[in-house]
Amino acid sequence: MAWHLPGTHFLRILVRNRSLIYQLVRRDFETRYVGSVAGWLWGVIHPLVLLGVYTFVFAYALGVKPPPGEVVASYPLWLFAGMLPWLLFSESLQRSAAALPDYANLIKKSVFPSEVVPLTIFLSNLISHFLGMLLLAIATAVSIGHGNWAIVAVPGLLILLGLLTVGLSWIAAGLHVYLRDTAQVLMVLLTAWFWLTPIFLHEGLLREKFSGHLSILLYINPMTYVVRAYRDTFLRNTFPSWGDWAAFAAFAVTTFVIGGLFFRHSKRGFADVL
Amino acid sequence: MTALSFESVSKSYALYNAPSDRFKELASFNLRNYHEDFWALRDVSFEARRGTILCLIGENGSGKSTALQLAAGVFAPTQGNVRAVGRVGALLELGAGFNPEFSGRDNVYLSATLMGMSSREIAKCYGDIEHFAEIGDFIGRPVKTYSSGMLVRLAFAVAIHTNPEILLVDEALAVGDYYFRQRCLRKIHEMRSRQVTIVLVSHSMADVKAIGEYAVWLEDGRVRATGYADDVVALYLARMAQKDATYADVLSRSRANGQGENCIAPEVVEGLPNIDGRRGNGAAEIIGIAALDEEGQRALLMEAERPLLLRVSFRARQPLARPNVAVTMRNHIGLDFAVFSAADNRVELPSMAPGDVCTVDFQLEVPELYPGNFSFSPSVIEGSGAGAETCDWVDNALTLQMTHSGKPIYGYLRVPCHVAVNERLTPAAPTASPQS
Repeated sequence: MAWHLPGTHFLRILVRNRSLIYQLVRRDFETRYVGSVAGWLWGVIHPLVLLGVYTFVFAYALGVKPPPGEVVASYPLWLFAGMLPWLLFSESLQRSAAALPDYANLIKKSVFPSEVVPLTIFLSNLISHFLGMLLLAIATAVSIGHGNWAIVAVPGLLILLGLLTVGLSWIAAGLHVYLRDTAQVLMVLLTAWFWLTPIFLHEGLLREKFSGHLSILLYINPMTYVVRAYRDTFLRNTFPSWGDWAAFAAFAVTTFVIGGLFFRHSKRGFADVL
Repeated sequence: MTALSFESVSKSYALYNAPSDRFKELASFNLRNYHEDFWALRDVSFEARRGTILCLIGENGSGKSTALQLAAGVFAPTQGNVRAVGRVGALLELGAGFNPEFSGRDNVYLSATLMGMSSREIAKCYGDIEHFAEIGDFIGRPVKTYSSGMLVRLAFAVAIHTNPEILLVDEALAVGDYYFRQRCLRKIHEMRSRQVTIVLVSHSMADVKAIGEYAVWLEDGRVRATGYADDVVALYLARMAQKDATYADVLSRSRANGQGENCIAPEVVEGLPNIDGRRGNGAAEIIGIAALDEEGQRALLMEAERPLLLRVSFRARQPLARPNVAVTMRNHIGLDFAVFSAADNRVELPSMAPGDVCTVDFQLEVPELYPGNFSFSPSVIEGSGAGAETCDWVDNALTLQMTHSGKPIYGYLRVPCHVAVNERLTPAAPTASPQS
């Protein structure tokens, strides 16, 4: 087989299975919301309640202010902008990690492109993510009094975040098939990762605490860039800096390629182990 | 035109002692070996021409299912080539291709999509699928709550409505009820006439003879024989009969005589292929039962309008004044279908002293019976009427398979009858009619 550009194989699978992906995404989204009384409204209620709680605890009870130099003076909005990409990332990753055993029957006994499973989970989470973004955009517009043009950067950010999430999900899901502790270990790792990302605590504070070599943790964390980029676009109405784009893109593409190669390699044993 | 071909296909499975061994091997990029190879198929070659029905037969573990999975493309062969031309619809093991957590409806969409249909195509034939499967309200519930019959109905409905050019059917059909099996077989014939290639795995030689045109016999992962279904089935059954060591052994007269017993039978059969239960007062012992065809060969199949000889041998343990031998025939659902006895046919057996051996032949004319398994339970009775006592009774000692006879049979058997229109009741045809 001739060497070809990494990702083209995946793109071909994607195109060939677009109908399957659509079915799985629709089904995943439906099962989470259809049958519940409020239906898809839960997709709005959940972020709204989150926003309300943050406002109460941080702005009202603790009197926390956003870091100096922010345009939007509301800490909850600042926090929410940081939380959004993290929630999409961590939820997709956690669910993907444990997803393959559900498809054991399909993987073992039929021709099933198991690589699409993490993708469908990401896409399904993306639907509720859009609702969250809509709320954030409205809340910011109300707070600063005008619309926001910088959100044109959002599709680009989402594509990169998708590459990163799917790439890591492949590794986690592939490992989980062989080592069923993976999903548990991942939960611990994600908790640590959450606090190492400037979501609750702003970057300046983290940099202060991680003196010396530890500050490298901020730079090798791809989530730092996407959280910063979300705040830039939604709160400051500025386009993320080219440096951030480059760093985030490098992380995302590398993770995606490594994840893809790992998954393709480990996939061979799936039918026997599941 | 060849629709499906296997060219020297071999498939090995890696057997690991522990799941972690498998991971170690993957982690070492296959540089170190942590497994043993198990060859499920070795150098298997055969082909199925377009629009024909090919049956794969063989014992359990002979590689039939592996061959079918290779044909479906579930995994790749270790060596050799598997070529399938056209869309493949597969009905593999029970529940294969379904996600147990999904509802029936979602699974229809999922597996039809996997077979290569677009959402629009599925939406168009979804009604037909639901109608054919006859799942009712269960269609909206997770398939893990389905019975095996419902699962196979749904899977079959999807498989045939996706318009496959090659249909692969593993023994899944066996779990369907009679009515569903009949519909499936009709559908299979209908698809065949539309030039669909059908590959079937079956343990029912009657089915294979009835619907298969060609057959491949696999033994221990190798092709043992290929050819017309009738020929291959005959070879296979002969081999099975030979393998079955406990199967009735037809002894020659000389050997029976050599035992020094007072034997009134020229031919004695020894051996009971199966004993599901045994009762009686012990005054006599059934020593063997066998079914023989017209050439005197052991038969495993019953065919309509072919003579069949049931031979029962028994030995008296106590003096028997008026012994009688009967055979109860049960059908596939365990119904007492027919009883033949010597006394009912006005044949009186001679009185016997302890040690005497007697053999009774029942020459049957097999009617057109519903194709299924029939079991035969021989018994020896002493006396007649109210005073009769059972000396020995062996439950389901012998099983024979009834073959299909072309036309489907509704109920248990076809009753020979002559049909005529009662002329006097019909209005007289006009005499000027150009045709009589």
